[in-house]
Amino acid sequence: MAQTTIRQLLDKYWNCETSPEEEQFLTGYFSGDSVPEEWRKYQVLFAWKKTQTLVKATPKLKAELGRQPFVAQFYSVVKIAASVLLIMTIGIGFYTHYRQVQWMDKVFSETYSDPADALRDTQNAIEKVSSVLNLMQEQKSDMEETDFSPNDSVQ
Amino acid sequence: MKNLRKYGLFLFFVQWGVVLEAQELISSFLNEYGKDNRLEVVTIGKKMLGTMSGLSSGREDLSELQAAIKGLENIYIVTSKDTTLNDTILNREYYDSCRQLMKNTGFNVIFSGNEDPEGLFVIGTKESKGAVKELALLFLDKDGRFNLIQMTGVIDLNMLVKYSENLKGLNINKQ
Repeated sequence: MAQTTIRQLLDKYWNCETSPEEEQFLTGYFSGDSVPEEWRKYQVLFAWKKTQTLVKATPKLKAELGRQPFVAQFYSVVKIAASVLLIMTIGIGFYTHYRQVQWMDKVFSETYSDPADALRDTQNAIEKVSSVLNLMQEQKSDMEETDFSPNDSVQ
Repeated sequence: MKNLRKYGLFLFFVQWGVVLEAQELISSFLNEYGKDNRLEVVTIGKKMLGTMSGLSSGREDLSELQAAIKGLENIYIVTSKDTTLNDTILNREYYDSCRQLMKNTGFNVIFSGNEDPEGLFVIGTKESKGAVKELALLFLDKDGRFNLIQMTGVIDLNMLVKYSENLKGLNINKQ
């Protein structure tokens, strides 16, 4: 590879303008034996760089990095629990309402299929209401007839 | 279009409110006590009331009844089942609770008392546009049994008053 090209790549490297592929090329070049004397001082740098690329995260480190902080975990659990509770409450509410409506429908549906049976209860009910209303009228009439004016004989 | 749907939904719920209001007193009462199996509920709807009118031919007492129930839509009758001592106490609890509910559900108490043979009673009405639309009679009879009679529809109080008088008239004529 022409030294001119290497020089250009090195200039780019010092200016932080190299691409990852160019850096990889430089690393490979400086790990070889045909490095000119003037550039031998850079071999240490690129050798170190090469070892850094071989460093991998240990499983323990990966686990540490992947784990959420406790507070974030707590809020996640609370959110899930709140969602489940809300769904359960809505579900129970709908079920209770449905049972209530069913019960009310049963209670308020027509009791008798035979008009003769309905007639008996209707007559009793009307008689009772009529009796009370008549009593009310009698008492009102009594009140109207009663003379509440002062007694003239009292002195 | 969106507004139309909103108004439609609003009117739907208002209508439901109007339908449910008629059952308010009894449904509120039964919500609290209905499931302990000590109460009997009889519902006589508009259709049955109309069918009964067909039975009136040839019977003067039924003609009087027909006049009294004209305009009624529903009659609900709630009675307690037994009259043992414990139930008498419980029946009084039903009475007091129901009386309070009458006030809470907008009934205007027109008369109350403790007379023989009526027993302890209270009667209330609900009016709308000058007409009586609901009537509720609550009483404990001489056996201590709890009774609630509620009527809905267009209620003619004068015809109801005349009903028992006319029945007495019929009985006198028959003697």
